[in-house]
Amino acid sequence: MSEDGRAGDATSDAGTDAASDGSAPASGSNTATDGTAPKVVCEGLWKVFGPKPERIVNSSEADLPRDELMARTGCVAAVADVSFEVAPGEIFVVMGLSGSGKSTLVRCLTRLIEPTAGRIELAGRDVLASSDKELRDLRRNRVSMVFQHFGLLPNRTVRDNVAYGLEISGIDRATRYARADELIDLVGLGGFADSRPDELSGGMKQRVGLARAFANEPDILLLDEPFSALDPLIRAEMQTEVVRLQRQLDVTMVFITHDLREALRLGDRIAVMRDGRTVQIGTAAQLLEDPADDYIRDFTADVPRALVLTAGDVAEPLTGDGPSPEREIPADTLLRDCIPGVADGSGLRVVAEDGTVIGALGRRRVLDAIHGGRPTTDAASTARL
Amino acid sequence: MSSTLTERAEPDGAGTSGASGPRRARSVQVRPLGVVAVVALLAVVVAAVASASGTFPAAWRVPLGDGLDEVQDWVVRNRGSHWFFVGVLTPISTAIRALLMEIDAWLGLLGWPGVMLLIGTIATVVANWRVAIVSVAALVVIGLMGQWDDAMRTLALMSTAVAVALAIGVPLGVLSGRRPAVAAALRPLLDAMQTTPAYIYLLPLVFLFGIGDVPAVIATLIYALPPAVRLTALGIRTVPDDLLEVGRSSGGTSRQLLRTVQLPTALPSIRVGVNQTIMMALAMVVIGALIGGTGLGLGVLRGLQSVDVGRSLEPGVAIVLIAVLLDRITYGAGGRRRRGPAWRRPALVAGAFVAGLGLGALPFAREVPGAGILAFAEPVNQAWGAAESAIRGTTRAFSAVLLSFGLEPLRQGLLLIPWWLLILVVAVVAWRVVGAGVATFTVVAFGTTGALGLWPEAMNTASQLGVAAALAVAIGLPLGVAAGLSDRLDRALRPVLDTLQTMPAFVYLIPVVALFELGRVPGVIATVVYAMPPVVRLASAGIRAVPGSLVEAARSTGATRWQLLRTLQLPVARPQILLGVNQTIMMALASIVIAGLIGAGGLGFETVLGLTRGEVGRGFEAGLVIVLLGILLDRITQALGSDDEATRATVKTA
Repeated sequence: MSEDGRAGDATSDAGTDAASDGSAPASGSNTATDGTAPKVVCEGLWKVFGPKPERIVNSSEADLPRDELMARTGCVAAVADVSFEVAPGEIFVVMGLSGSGKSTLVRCLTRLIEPTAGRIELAGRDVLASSDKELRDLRRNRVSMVFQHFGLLPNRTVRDNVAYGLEISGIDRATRYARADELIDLVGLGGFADSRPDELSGGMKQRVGLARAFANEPDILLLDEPFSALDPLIRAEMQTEVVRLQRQLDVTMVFITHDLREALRLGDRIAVMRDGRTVQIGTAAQLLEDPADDYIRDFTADVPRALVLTAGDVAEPLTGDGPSPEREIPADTLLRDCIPGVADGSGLRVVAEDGTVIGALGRRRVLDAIHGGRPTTDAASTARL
Repeated sequence: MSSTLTERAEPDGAGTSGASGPRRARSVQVRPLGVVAVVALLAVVVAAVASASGTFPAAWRVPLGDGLDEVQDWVVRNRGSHWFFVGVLTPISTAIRALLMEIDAWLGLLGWPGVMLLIGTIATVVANWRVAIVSVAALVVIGLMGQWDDAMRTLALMSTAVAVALAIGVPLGVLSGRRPAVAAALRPLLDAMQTTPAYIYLLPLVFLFGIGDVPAVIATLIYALPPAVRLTALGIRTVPDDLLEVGRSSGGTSRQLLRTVQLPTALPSIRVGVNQTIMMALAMVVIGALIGGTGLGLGVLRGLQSVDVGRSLEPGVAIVLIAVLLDRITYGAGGRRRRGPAWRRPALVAGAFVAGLGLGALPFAREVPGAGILAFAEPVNQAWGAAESAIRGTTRAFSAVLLSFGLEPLRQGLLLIPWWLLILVVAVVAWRVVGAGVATFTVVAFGTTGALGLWPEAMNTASQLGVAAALAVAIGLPLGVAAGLSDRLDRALRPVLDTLQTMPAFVYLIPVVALFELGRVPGVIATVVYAMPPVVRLASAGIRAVPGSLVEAARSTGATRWQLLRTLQLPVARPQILLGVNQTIMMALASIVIAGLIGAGGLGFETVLGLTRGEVGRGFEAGLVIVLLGILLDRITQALGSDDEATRATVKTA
């Protein structure tokens, strides 16, 4: 997956694409592999804060380090030439540390923050070309958002908070209350409909936030660090919950987080951002197995790979020379659970859900994958020898 | 709130903090102002050399007042004919008069049982039944004192002023909360309105609207307007961004955002604004009487002017009772969570109103039965007459001490200092503390004072202000710090401070005048009492706000209580304490000017002359000087401490 490359390297190409409108995305790597039309298209997106922001877009100055750009132009490129696509039903995670531009990026998608340049398509509509009314329509009916600090209106009951978007859309009270009660049950808050936000715990508050976001049956859900303010245990519970809801309600998700574990756990694909640019976009396995650069390598260094990678991720193609291993193992088995099978030195046959054989897995391969495939330094290897 | 803090604190912080990025940037900006200030100071020196005199040269007198007298003549001649009066001012006063008479008439129709039922119901619905009982009890006492009719008159005047102030102030606040440009435009205006002692603008109002209830209502509503605007704007502005984002990301229009997010979230702040507006309006009851307002204020004023303690005390007590009642009702609003249908509360009030009208139609509803049972003017006067000679000996001695060791030396000293030296000293202090702009303003303000021939009066007022403010801070600051350290003292002080702060300015004067007669001393004493609460409150709040973790950390190093206070609590609480000092000084200015009414002389007296004897020009000049010196004092003392609009706006309810 080396062509997955660094989006940052393709700056100028992507920029030209963005300028000549309607052209295909810069590289296949940013595209969801699925054949259907993507739900979210983001192409050559820029958000520059500061005086005369347009001049920074695609300029050579944009490649400067942040502090230098600031000193020279007074501008900050919060989002710089970001391109990606999200397939229907996909959970697309944008991961980055604070200041990497991920929150700005998600706000640009629905123009809560006005982007400086680029093209955005949500559910087939060109967002930047939308009029105010079309934009409101999009926000009311197609896209919902979940916020880090829940964003519950303190003066409203849970029911009125969940029904908020429907109220904004002008839906009558009886209909929106019926729908709200449905969703309150769905997120497991039955009985709390008449409570006020300040009577709920953090996890419950975010359940309300989720229920509100689902109330208008959106195609696309944008989640801005939804679980960052929660305790670890509650966070894990909510992650399970969000996956359940996503399957049940079939929405496409753009999920912002600073938590690598959360990203690896939830993301069908993950975009790692740094200083406004995407460093790498790929599946969890691609990030771990084929990091685009040292930043990603260091970043993922402490990930317990045995608990993230699956047999399918690391299986070696059957070469045809040796005999095929006899024992089978499903492709989604975690590496940890493959260990007993390969411990005696024999191999495993990795089989996909539909029964096709993906490849083989041996002890050496499993250990390499868990180790991380990093070239060991001479000193370290000497020491070990 | 935090955004206001940073945006306002930055320039001040840059002025006093060490050499950092923003400071360098600022010193570049400041240069043109610095040149102006240097020129102004040089002008003072040159003028001093030219005049070669320690007292402000009489030759430089600018007869501004004479011109104003001519304007007044013109106004009197043209009131009935000029378009500005016929087309602008007359409709305003006609509308206000109509509203006032309407409210007056309804209060009359309700009669005493109807009013009690209505206010009791409102108190129950808005606050709770305990407040309702207190409110009705207060009304009963007012009736039994024989003050019912005056009280209803005052209520009508206040309701009119508050209704108009809110009708203008809340929308204006919403607008200014949503549009920074409007806020920036309103800010200096509101600042000026709040630093100007209330009765300074009575004079121009008399000018424009004549004398009577209507100008009194207008004066009241102008005075009461700023908190409505400020607190509404503050509430709107401090709606958390993430809540706004929820509205926007749900596809809300700007109007929907206002209705569903901004107004509901700002409601607590708007409620405080309503409470403050009402309390400010009440503070104007007596002052309004100076320009022909009727009701309880007039009673207080008459009693004060004739030094009839008993007669002024009755309406004074009635005003305090109304203040407590209105404060409790509006302050208690929103305190508890409501369930049940939204129409219930308005329906209850409407029901009480209709029922009240029915009660009001009953034959006994016109006159309060037993009115006058509680009238205590005569007994108070008799008792006072008996005790007077004994007490007076002590108070006269006290007055003599305060005069000969405080007020008089300070006044003489201020007059002895050559005028130009005083200007230079104050300007240099202003430059050091705030900046070149305020230094220039100092020269302008003092120059105006001298040029208007009000130098001696200004020094008289300054000496009273200095003594009063120093006493208020000297007593209030340690008290506040002690209250910050001791829960018990804080609990004990709280009701006292609450009462002092809900009491309109003039009511203090009654007992003080009784004890100390007329003159400068009672003015100073009333001012000390009036101006002390903010410094006590803010010092206590500041000490309390020191994070417990810091106190713990200091304790763990083995600090004694005194070390703890000196090295941690006082420094951390400094901004709040200094804000309290600023508030106290500004309130002292407002009060010391009013003391002109009870013979304290100075600038306040000149303004009173303008009002009562029709010397409009002179009164106007004195008013202008008070405003200039007030702004100057505010800028300098504000720069000493924090400058957080939120704290300023809510300081009375802290």
